[in-house]
Amino acid sequence: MSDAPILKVKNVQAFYGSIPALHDVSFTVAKGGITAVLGANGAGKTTILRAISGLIRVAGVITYEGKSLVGRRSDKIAAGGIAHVPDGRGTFGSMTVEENLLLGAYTRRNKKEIAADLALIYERFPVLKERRLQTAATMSGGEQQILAISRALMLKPRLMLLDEPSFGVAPLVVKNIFNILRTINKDLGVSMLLVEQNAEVALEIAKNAFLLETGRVIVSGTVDALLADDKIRHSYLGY
Amino acid sequence: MEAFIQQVISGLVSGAIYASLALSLVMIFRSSGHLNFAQGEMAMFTTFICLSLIGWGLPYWVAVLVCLVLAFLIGSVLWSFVVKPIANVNLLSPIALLIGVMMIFNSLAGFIWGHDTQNFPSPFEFFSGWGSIYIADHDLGTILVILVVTIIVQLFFQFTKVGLAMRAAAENSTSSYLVGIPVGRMLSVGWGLATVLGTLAGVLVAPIIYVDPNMMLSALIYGFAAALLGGITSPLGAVFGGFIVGVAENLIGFYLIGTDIKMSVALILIIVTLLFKPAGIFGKEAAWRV
Repeated sequence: MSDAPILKVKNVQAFYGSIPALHDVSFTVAKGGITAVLGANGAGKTTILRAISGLIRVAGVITYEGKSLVGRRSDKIAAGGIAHVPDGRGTFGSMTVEENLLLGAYTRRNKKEIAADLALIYERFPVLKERRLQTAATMSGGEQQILAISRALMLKPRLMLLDEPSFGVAPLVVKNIFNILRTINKDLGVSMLLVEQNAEVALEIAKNAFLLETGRVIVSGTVDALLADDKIRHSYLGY
Repeated sequence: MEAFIQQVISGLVSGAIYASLALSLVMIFRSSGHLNFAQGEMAMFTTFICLSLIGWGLPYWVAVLVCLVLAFLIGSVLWSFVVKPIANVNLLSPIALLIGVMMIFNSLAGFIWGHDTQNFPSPFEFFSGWGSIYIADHDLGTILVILVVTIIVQLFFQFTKVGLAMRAAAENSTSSYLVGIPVGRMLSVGWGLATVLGTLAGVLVAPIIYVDPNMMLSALIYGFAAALLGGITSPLGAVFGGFIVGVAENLIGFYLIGTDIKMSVALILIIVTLLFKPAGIFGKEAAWRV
């Protein structure tokens, strides 16, 4: 991987109101790399993504492309090239597929480029093209996940934050989705911070990973190193 | 037969006013999910401002334009500094707050302009000849203006980038932030535009019912009936609802229950709609996954 990391998180504490949910969390995402965040329910994985996106109060250092994100408003953070696909997918259920995709491009000015990207998405994902004018809420879990990822792509992000893309999606579709993510990373060079409960799928595409337990990082390193260590694999990854 | 036509037409005219108020109620509901009980009084207040501007010598259209701009500012400032701080505390606080705002605008208007009924000019005098014996020029002009404005509002929400962003901000503010939409600003614009629509209602109805601080009190009830019946989330529904309420109140009042208590038609419509089809005729049903 190249030079400076695209995302640097150092000694971060995050709060829901006055309750701390993350304690002294530090990690980086390499430019063009995929870092997986693993851990059980309630470990604080979603909280990390929310902290980066400015949705909750944060203390510590979070820098993206060298600039600090702490204290910035969420829409400005998104406009800086960070696409966050939240847990539950966050689709605009009452709007059509196309409207959802166009909203993804809200921060962009160039209408021609937006139209071209939209056409590319439809070419890559025929299921979205078929359902262009369909209301998003009526689509299946897997289709909505593809829609959510596509909407994130429409932002032309340099960093994608993904919150449990495998959740509520049939296993075969999960494979498909993770292939899509791998391709996005390889072909478009989009860096990714991938939160997943399904460690196996996540570690197939990630190069680096760390484990969260009750708001603390307990293990981190390259995926190769983590998988090579039997103790870590058994205790934390379960296989 | 003539009486029937007369009642229907006059119902359409008052319906147009209710529709305009309903439009502003729908706009605010779509923007921030609130029912603005102060909508009528704000409209009355800005109509008074318009009257003063005309009184100071400004030509009619200039005065209207200026007070529409002022209406936008009043609406967005009200949202940003008064409603927003308590917008999500609970369901009842914004309602109580807005009823308070309603009373403040009412008293303030009485304090500034007094409680005497005043005349308000109509811009449709040049229509002379369009109307027939059945419908006055101003009434016809009012209906046409409301129809045009409704179409513009519907097109705005469906086909413009800002309209889309406003709908998104109202539906899911977190997801909206995550695609880069400045949610606070969208809500502010929504309230501003809604107040502009309400002012339009005030300026159009003023020549008919004359201007005084209480002119919009009953109109607000009709506006709510119209918005609920048509669908509190649908601009087209609001207008449709407005015309139905206007015509129904007139016909039922004239033929059945007497014109004195015809407002009860609106009140009963509100109750019936909320009991049997709360989303209204064109509204979207609110649904959550549980």
